[in-house]
Amino acid sequence: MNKYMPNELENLEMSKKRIMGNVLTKIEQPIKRPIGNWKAGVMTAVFSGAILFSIFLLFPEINQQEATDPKPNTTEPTMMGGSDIPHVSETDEPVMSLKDFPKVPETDKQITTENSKPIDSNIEAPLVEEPQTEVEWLFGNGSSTMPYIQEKNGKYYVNGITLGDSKEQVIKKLGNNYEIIDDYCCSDYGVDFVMGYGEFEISFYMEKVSEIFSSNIDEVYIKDAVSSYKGLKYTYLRKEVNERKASFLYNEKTNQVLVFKADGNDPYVLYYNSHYENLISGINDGVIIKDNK
Amino acid sequence: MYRISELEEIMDEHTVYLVRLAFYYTKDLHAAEDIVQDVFIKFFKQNERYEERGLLKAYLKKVTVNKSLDYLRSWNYRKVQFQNKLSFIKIETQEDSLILNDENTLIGKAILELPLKQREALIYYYFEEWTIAEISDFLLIPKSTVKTRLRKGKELLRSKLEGIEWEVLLNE
Repeated sequence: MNKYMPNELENLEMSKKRIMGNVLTKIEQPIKRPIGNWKAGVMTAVFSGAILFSIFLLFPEINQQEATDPKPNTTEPTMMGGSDIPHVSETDEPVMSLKDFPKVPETDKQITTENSKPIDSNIEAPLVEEPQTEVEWLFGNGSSTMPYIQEKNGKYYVNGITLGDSKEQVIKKLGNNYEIIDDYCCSDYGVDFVMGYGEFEISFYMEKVSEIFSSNIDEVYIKDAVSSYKGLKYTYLRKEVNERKASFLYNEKTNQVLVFKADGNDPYVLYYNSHYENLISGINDGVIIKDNK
Repeated sequence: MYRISELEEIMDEHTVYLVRLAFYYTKDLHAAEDIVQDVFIKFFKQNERYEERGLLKAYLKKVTVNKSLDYLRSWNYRKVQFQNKLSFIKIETQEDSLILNDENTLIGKAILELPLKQREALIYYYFEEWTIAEISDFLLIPKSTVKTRLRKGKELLRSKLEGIEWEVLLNE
């Protein structure tokens, strides 16, 4: 065993000390807390009682006034009719019932009925076409090997696919010529499986698209795509050489990120759902600068 | 319920082993430490006592593996993976290259790079020296599946370790 042990596991005594210390600290904390709370509760009750008692002693007229001028009790049964059932007097505001709400016009009713579907039918229903929305940004035409990218309603689309799409929606848009990449690459990546269309890979988690990845991207394509984008853009610079290594397009309304990595042998486009602040928190070998305001 | 002094004894005995186990899944020492910490807290809070040492160890192992798998499915891990995709190939220092020249280290690294299913089968079989039946019982998978994973794991290792003569790969 020791022969092939990774370097990180050679000396775990420090880890052991840390774990034991943390466990004991965490276990002892909750034991002390109820004692403190119990004491605090008793003290609060004593103080509250003392204050109330003082008020009643100092201002006895309050009690007397309340005794001579009782407030009318609306929940008491009325003397009229001798009924025990509480009722609202005629001078009170009338209570609105369902029948008093404005009626929906017949035409509106029909439209609603036609457009809405029972919840159960959504499962078996064929793919629902997305509503026509205005394309905020479009790059590439889909005819070349480079992906075409869109931004609609705060969501990015790579080759027509967006995060949250189902497998059926992906097949409808890209066809059946895919391979499922299961055992080899994905089990460690927190995804269920990957659909591979050549260089274009779509990861699924909980039956929804969770990540879109396209490798072997032309650097000129990346440069043009980033420069054409009018939204929020960030550049990732490597510390030592101050050279641009990746660009982030970010939609702050939906917290979605599109990444273009430009360096190395295998530049890529990656679409991932993440809050920008969370995304950059773990990056420690470079700096991120905002390209536009 | 265990007393704190008993818990300390248990932690003293099992922590290193459990951290190692969690590391084989997470490949991250800090994550492995956090997992083992949670395992002991959960163990202390539950009321069941394990009089037999074997049962106690089995319980701790199972909870550690389950928590490690939860970690691999967590958002936090997915974020780390994403950030790794952004990281760059580090320039190897002289010290790094000396370490890498050690064949045993290369084998250890290659095993850690295997997909999870093959990795855990290989680690339990060759490193922990469990039998196929024990691995099958622990992972709740058929024995035939354990064998398949071991075979596929060795195939993957062979391609990663070209030129390195590891006895495991030589004995078919």
